[in-house]
Amino acid sequence: MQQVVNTIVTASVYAMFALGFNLVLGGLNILNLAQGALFALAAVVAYEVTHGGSSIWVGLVVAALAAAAVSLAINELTLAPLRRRGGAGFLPMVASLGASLIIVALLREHTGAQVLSLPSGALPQGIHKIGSVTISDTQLLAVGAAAVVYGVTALVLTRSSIGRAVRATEFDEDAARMIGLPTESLIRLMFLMSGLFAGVAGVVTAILYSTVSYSMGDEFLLAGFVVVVLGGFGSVPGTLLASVVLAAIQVGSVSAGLSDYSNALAFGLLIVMLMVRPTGFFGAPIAARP
Amino acid sequence: MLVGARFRPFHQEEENMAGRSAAVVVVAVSGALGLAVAGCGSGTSSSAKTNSAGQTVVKVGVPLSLSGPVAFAGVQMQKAMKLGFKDANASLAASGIKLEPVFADDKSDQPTSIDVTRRLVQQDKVAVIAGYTASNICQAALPVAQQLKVPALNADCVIPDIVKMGDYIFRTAQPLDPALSLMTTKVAPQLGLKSSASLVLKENPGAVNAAKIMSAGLAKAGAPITDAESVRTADTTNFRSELTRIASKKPGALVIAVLGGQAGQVMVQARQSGLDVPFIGEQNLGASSVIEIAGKAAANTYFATYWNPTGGTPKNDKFIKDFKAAYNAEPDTFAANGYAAVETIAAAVKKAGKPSGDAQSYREKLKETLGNLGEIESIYGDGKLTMKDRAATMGAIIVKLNASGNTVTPEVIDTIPGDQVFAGWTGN
Repeated sequence: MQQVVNTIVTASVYAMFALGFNLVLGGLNILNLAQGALFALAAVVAYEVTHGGSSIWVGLVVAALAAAAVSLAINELTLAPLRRRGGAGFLPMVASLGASLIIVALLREHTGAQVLSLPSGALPQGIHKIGSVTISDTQLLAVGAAAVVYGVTALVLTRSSIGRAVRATEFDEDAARMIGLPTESLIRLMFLMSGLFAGVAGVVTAILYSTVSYSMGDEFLLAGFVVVVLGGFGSVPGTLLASVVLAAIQVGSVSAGLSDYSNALAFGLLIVMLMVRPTGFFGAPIAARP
Repeated sequence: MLVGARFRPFHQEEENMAGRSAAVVVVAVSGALGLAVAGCGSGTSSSAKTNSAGQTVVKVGVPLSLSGPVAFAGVQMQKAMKLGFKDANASLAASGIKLEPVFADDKSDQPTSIDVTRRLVQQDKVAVIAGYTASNICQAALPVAQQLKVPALNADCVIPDIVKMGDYIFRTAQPLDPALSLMTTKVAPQLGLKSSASLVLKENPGAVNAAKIMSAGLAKAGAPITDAESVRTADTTNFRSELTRIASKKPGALVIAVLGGQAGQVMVQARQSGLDVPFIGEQNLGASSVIEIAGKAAANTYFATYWNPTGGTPKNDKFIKDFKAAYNAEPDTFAANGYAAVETIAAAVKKAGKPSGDAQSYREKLKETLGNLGEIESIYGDGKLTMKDRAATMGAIIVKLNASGNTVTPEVIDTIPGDQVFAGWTGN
């Protein structure tokens, strides 16, 4: 039963990270490799804010906003000019890689390449025991943050005019522009949300696993990619389901005494999914996309 | 780094070649020429250069992992080595020699470590190399130093059989194998262990080797490993599922064989998973960065090391005091390894005397001197280090971490003389 808790908590972090990843990938067909760097950036910002004496909640908000701002800056300074000049295919991905390397290099210099941790006194400390199952406040925070992120995203995308405009832009940017939608503003919103989610995921991970490191986004970038492929490009419920599936495979393989093969099993599933259902759990068929 | 690793081949193609085969030929030829230049051409230039103070400058190449997954150790080594060079130059002043370190970052990456080694020798023209941080880096870079015929002193890699790579290869950092084996056989009966478990980073050969040695020692002491779990990658931060499984097996102790950048998190998550058992491991469990992250979760941890973190000898006391004064932090075993390498190089340079003749002949002189330097005063072990047959031997210390509130302090629970530790050891 404890491993079920571990699965849900792990899935929550994957889901938050991958949602922002999928928003940009599904909406703009851009594999934004800077998402991992934004994740690490937020953790480092939260580290600085909390070590400056502020509460972890202030750190969470400031760090998430910082990641959102940098995400927007990446779009404005690199990806938007590329789009205007007709840069497509691998070019935006390479540009995002460049942005990622710059951010990571700056973080590495700033942290002295050391693994850091948030001040333990600033973190929720409670441990709850339900039968044989232990749940910490930090684990509850991860699940709660994921619930809020998904709840807000679902509401915005399905119940607001902005959300409908975002979805229209995701489906066909040119058509959306022709009917008068402010597509560039909507794309900016996607990058803001994407950075915000990466930021929240980064700080929650720093709290959950006592880790702040300039390279902490690397593993999540890989996991995020698996989740997006499994869940389907641009699919919010798909991202959530795929996060649970990936976490369940990783935790389940350990429970079964197969920790040596944890990643191999996850990527084996990825290959099977690509062969059997290339659009993922909930992705739209290729023909239905522009 | 994942991203860097994926795109590295493109970065390394410096020339825009028309065909891949042509590129391979050109790279191979230029590599061979580079080796030839380094091996033969250096004999035409003089090794003796003097600075404005009239001292003869001896360049020491210091390749370290200053970024990437092993940077937690490399950065500490660099800090201590800077102090080491300062102390060495003070003691060498009367000889009219000044050591000039040339630091270089191998990024915790094997191909980069090869490039860095070549650059230090071929461009910076160092007389000797002292450095390297991780075992996989040593495996890649030391054969290059051997090819280039430059004495290379391994300061931190703890895999066995390093000096067997060639006659230009030396080591002050010794495998902890004999010390780990002695530690587990001593500690297990004291703790009354009947079983144990392990968490191992399988992609790191040093961690795998250490886990193997400790597992064998625990089995010999009647506390065999009943559950062995693997860590996915060097960047993994979530160990909860592995630790939950281990906790369900109720072992008497947990062997932790992961990178220092992960050990603190493992300790915290292990305690949160209900593993209130002793932790047993390598010297990285005592790293200051690990203790800072783990806090009181580090209590009841046992590790073996060749350096006493509480001081105990005049030179080690001074080292700890100077390090704290310079960096406002406690030194750790990586810092000590860095310092010990510099003190050994300094002793060899002092004994070899001022450089004379061409650069390669001075390298050969340093090679002969360093290999059988004999006993020198050291921060290691019981205050002395013996360099024989290109490898150092020193005493080992078993340390227990205690916690009072949130303050963690190391306690030396046993000291084993070097001749006992390395009796019958063949893994130099």
